[in-house]
Amino acid sequence: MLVLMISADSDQPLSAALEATVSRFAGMVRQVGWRHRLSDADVDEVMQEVRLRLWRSRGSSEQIATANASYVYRTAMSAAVDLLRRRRSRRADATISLDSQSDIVAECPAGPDTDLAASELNQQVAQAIETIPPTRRAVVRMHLAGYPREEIADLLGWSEAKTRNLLYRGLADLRARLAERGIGLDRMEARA
Amino acid sequence: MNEPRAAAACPSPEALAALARREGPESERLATLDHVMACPECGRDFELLRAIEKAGRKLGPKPHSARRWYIPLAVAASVLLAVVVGRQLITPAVPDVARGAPDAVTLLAPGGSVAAGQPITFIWHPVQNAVSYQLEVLAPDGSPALSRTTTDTVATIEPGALAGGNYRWWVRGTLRGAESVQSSMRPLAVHAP
Repeated sequence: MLVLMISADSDQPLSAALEATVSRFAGMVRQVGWRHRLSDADVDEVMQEVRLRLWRSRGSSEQIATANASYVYRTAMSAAVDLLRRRRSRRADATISLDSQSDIVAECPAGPDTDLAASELNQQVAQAIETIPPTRRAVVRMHLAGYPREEIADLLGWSEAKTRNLLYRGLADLRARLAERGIGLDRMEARA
Repeated sequence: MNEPRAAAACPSPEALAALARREGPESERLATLDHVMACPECGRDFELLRAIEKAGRKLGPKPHSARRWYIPLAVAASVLLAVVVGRQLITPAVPDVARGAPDAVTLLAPGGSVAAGQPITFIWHPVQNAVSYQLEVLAPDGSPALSRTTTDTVATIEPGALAGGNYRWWVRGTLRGAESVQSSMRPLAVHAP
């Protein structure tokens, strides 16, 4: 990853106060994201872009001298969206040769039986989840991915009671669908 | 349990950002969330945006509840705008395209005001030798409200991307050889429905 030390090398360095705000913001992004394995490299790339944009803006905007947390937030959000756009563009361009696929298979640490069993269970669970009504399905997926109920409610702007209600109904739906397939929810939650 | 999905079915980065910011109709956000939780690549992308959104809310004033704070700035910006527009009206016309000058990209649409909740289409004149354009919409405090990069001379912003308020927008064209040209700033008032 390219690391550009703007603060050290530029004729127009970020002010110490602004750099402190950017660094503090980066720290909070990491703190919020660590539970769900947010990539440090992604955060670094976005924050480096934020520094670049703030630095470029200096000549054209006097506001930059007094940039606040809201400004840094908006710049970071915009930089992250641009980063994702570039990443998707690269993904679309990428091609995988047959040789590289054989390398991936060779490096897989699990045995074929384990893979097959996990794959079959995953497939059955995925199919069962698809049959849950849409309003409950996303909540169930978040729960199984390890998001606490408070975070689900916060993200969807729902009350705690509504979130709990839809989650329990969704899990009941899932339990019923899996029971029809001879799978217990406990086994699936243990895998999540 | 997560099975990778086809890239074509993945929501746009803007949709992921709208989900993180809790913007847009609930049905659309639920559909996006449903995909995100089942797609490892979108899950990673979303987690980055979600962490930035949450950090923004923790660190400073709530990013999307700061309109009251903008009001004095919006009034000041309106006064400034009146002075600038008045000055432009009495200034002799300049050529539409002049490479390197601040007005080298000519903005065509939208006019001065649009309705919130509707798609907003930004249009500008093509610039010779331009390989891409960057559209930037600035909030009253000068911070970027949104940014789009395109090779086209049209960019449509999805409904709800800009809340009601007074903005300014401009376009920068990148030419072959990394030289760039830019438009002047144009005001844009987004009226709440």
